Amino acid sequence: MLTITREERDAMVASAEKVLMDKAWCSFLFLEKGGDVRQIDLALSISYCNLLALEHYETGEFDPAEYFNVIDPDDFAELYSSVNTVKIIRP
Amino acid sequence: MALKTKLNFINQDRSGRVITLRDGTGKEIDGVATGYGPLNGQITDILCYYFVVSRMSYDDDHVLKVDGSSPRLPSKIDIANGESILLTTDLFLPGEDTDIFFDGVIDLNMYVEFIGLSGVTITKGSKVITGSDFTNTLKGDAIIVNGIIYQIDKRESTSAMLFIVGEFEEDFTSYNILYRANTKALLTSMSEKMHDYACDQMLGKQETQEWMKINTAASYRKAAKGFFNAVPADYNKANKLVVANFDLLKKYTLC
Repeated sequence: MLTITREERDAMVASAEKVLMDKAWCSFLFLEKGGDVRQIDLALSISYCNLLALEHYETGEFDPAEYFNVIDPDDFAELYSSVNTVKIIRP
Repeated sequence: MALKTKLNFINQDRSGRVITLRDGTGKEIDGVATGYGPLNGQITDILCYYFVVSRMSYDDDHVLKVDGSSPRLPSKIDIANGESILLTTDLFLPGEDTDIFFDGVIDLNMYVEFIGLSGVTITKGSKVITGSDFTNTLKGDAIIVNGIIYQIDKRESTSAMLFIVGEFEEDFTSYNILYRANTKALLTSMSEKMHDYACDQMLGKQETQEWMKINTAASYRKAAKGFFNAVPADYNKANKLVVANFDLLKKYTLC
């Protein structure tokens, strides 16, 4: 479990949101050009999951499996600690 | 200090047929310097409200006049006092099946009408009115002439010349003053309902392709909120993502 300040947490949320927005827009363009939803990069789900986790961080209510069954909670924990947003805050 | 009207979007119902708004202007007596009151304009002097709705997806404006005569809507005084107003699609387009309150980004304008000037010369095809003192008119944002709203061109106008954006559509001799409040709303309630229904239907089937659609749609809604709330906002991307999310979930529309 990470221990971060409120300011760090807010910065991480903002950064994670930006990652999600970029990935969502890319996947939208992919679908718009006739792409198949089954071929959308898993990174979209991961970035969404990461943002939800950060937003719920303080309450501890977040269960990734509740939102995305494509990600195992253990895998998610690893992703959570290695995601770029965290690296930005804690180089 | 001049009146500065404010419009608050409250919510959208899950059927896409009702939105709830509130006149958030406030009152001088409550300490709101730009609110309704003796200096800026009394609530009792409001002649009419106009609510104008347009979607990002197409250019049509839908206008609803609220003059206190409809038993389905609050009185002008109640609206000005901050009572919530429920706008249903059939108020804008009676008897029509319309998507104006479906998920997506909508642009909302509230115009509050006060008495203007009479005895002026408004000429069809012209964009200017002269011959009067327009100081008070310039406190407003638009004028209404025989039911047609014209935006004031504040860069060109002076106390002696009132310019509008565009041209007058007919000859007339009077106008009233409109104060405009604008807000935009990101509507996603229908999708949230479809998402809940889809999740119920998909219990125990987590590995199916259908989950990929549902999750992608959820990601799009979340990202759309990011684009909508960003500074500066990107309403176009927010709208496109919500519409794409809606398409991904449309098989659950009949829930």
